[in-house]
Amino acid sequence: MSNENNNNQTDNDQPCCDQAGCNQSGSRQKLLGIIPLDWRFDLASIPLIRWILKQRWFPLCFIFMNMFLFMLILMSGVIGGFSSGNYSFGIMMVWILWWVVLMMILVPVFSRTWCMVCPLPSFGEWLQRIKIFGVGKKVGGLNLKWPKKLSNMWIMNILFLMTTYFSGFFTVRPLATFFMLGSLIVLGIVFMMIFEKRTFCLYVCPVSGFQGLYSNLGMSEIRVKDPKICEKHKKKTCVTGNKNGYGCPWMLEPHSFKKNTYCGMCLECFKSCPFDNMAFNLRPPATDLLVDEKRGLDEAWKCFIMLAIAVMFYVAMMGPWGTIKNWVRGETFIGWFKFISLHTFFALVVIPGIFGIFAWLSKVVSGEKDIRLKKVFVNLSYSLVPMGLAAWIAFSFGFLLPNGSYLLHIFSDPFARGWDLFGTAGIPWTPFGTVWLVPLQFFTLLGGYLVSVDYGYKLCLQTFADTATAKRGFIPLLVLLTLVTIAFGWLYGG
Amino acid sequence: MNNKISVTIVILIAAGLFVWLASYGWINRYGSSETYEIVEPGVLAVNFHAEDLALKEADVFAEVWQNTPVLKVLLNHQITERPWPKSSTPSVDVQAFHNGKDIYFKMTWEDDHADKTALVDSFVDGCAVAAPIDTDAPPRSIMMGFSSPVNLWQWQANKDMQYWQGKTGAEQTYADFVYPFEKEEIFTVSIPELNSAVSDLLAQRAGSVTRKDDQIVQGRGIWRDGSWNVVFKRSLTTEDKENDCQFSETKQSVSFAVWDGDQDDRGSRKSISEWVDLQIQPPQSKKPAEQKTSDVASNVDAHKKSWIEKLSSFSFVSTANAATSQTQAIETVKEPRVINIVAKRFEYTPNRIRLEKGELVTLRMESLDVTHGLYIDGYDLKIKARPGLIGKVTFVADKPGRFTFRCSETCGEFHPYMIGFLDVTPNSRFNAFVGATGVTFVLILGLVLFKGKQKNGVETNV
Repeated sequence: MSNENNNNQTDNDQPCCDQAGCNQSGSRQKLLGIIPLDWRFDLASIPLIRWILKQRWFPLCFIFMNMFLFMLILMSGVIGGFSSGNYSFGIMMVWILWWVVLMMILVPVFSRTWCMVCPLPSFGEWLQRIKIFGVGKKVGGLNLKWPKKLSNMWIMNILFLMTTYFSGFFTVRPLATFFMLGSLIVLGIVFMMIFEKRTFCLYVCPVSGFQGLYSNLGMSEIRVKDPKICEKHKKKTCVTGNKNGYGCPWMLEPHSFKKNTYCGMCLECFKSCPFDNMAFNLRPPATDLLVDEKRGLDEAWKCFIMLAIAVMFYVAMMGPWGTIKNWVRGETFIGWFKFISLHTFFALVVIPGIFGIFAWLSKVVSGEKDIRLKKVFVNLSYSLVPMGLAAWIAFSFGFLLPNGSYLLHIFSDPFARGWDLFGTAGIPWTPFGTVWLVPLQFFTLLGGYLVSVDYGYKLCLQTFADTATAKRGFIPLLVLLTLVTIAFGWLYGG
Repeated sequence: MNNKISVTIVILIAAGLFVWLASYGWINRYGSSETYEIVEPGVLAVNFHAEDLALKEADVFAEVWQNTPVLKVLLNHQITERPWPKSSTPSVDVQAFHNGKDIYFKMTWEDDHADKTALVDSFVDGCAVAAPIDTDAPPRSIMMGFSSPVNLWQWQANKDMQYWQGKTGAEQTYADFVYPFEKEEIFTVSIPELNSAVSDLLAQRAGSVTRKDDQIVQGRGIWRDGSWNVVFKRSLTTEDKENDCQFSETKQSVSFAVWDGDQDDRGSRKSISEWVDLQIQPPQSKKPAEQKTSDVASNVDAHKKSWIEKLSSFSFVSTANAATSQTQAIETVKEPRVINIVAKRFEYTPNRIRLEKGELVTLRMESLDVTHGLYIDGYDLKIKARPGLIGKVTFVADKPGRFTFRCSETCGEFHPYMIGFLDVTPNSRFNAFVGATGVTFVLILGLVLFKGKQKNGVETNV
């Protein structure tokens, strides 16, 4: 069955250096030497799933459902949940349930599926389309082009980093969560009214940026089934749209894009393609890390910022240091200023600096003089993606296991009014499985380490001219990844 | 309509709605305004019972107390004494009755440890009843803040032990007043002979506590099942109206205080109540009990400890909630290492506790502000401490590794992040993790360096 569905499977005899799954000499690459990277299974090959994916009510129904949940979350921020974050519906739903599900399931398995069902930009999108259901031709708003210079991740990097400045408020104060989510909705409307399509999601939304990067590691993708069909199709309705679907709102060319970073999985291409030539593939993790397309310093810095935030969040929230907690929660302005200064310096300078040293060592040890340091720096930075996601998953265990039981309370009493809707309001705080917390974190880190090392090696093969130099250049990277893994292990349980 | 205008309107509506909701949330960020009435301490009914208690041990739990109304009186920290705010004991149950001749007060409060010995750095439990000498004196919030004098009856556990059991406690602490240049001792240090476990005192405003010449108040305290039970006894009225409070049928009020030695309470550092009005029932019978108190009998009884007292004194520690029977059994064999933890929002001090595997340890937690908990991952132990009530747990650190201990009582917005680390060495889990990473590193390095080359130059995946 898998052979039948290997839509992107390449012939072993044909070199395919530009695609994930093959190396320079054209041999099939495997994840950890076991899983072929070019293995694909098209979920849409199941007729029922394809039918669902092509319906206009999908994923709209999930957007409505999420919109209802987010309405409750926003309401709880304004009219309920005053006592403490752990008994606030908004805080618990966003920072325990949503965040954990996002980091542990959605991103690693379903890539950017959250963007598919995200309700935050929907108001703006409906105003832009002047339609909620169906496909229309009229366009609301100004539909301006986004400046090309800003068509990268830098704004998202900065905004996400700045968002974490307020983590001591967002994660504990219901009103602060309302501010954050409400701002995103309003910003979404403003941007959708001024700029075209999903400009806001592509270049502004702070959540979108890290999802984009980490979805390269995700085990699912939307790709074209047969590129030859697209070549013959002159109208390119996946870009221009037709009566069944809008042209790609994420301004991609669905007939040819190769990595998940900027695909919001909105499924419009499924609807607009007249040849049913789109596939919703399951795949081995992280294959997009090998796709040499649109790589740049913005994405490299996104890797560093995500690692730095994982460290900072752990130190501030899971660490025992009261002084730092006081800084983060803004007990004094000076303390908070110290926190944001150190955090920014650590994220933007220290971690990139350390990585830069090892990238330089990699270049030097490889013995390849012609290669540019920037290329080594950028390419190898993608090896930090699996490590970073593993660090985040491990961190999320530290949230979920001890604090998950609060969810039972807030489901029954979402607005802190003393309700007991489902009879679970009285369930006391019950830490679950915390005896396994540190071992789980260690296993997760080790898993991330293995995948990082594997892709680090493949990235070296891709970056350096030949196998011998790649191997030499890989050694500093291997040392760095090992040290990073041990450092996280020390932080989480050492 | 012009596209720009419609865009502007949409943006303004969205932003305006957001600002309105945000401002509503900001105004009500601490909840909707609600008015709470100050809880009055209530009125303590002093009913008539034709009972005369000799203050034997059994009298503290005599049947008459079963028939006497109980008033729960909330206590607050003594604000004139630092560190504050600190309410050592949250409440005390008080009862009172009279037999037409004497008036009895009984105070009952929770205290997980009976502190009966005064040393240089440890203090005794105690309690007090205060009543204004002038019946028309305006009550103030502070116990000794009367503009008119107040009569204080202070019971202390060490004096109780000395008086009723004839024990002097541990070695006495006293100052040496012999100056090196004096040939003779000029201040004779002597402990006055006790004729009661209760000190009969006078005071008028803070810092003016004076021992009365006539000590006419009797009292007895028994610590049982984690609570102190203290009974005071004095005649309803006295002849010395200048120095003694009087309990006639007119309006009278009293206040209560509790010292918890375990919490380092002493002197002014204590928990105090608001003024409680007394409702003294007139005698229904003019035949007060005439039994005479037998001090000898009392002292004989005092040496007979109840089985509960014997049991409680046998235990090394009064564990809070979670000590298992297994760990309790070990306590009798080995002295636990005591680690004092101070909890305040949102940190523990020390925030990192290092133990050897197999070590017997008692964690003793004190809270400086609000109620805090301490739950240890992996050990599944939980203790709670509120200001004034120390939480304790004794256990054997038999699981090696680093474990997080975290607050288990919602204590504020950063409550889920109130965390400390318990290191039980050797940290075998981390060592195994480092070992696994190291072995993986070596294997990969070996594969890359020595097994990378294959035929036809095809690379091997790591």
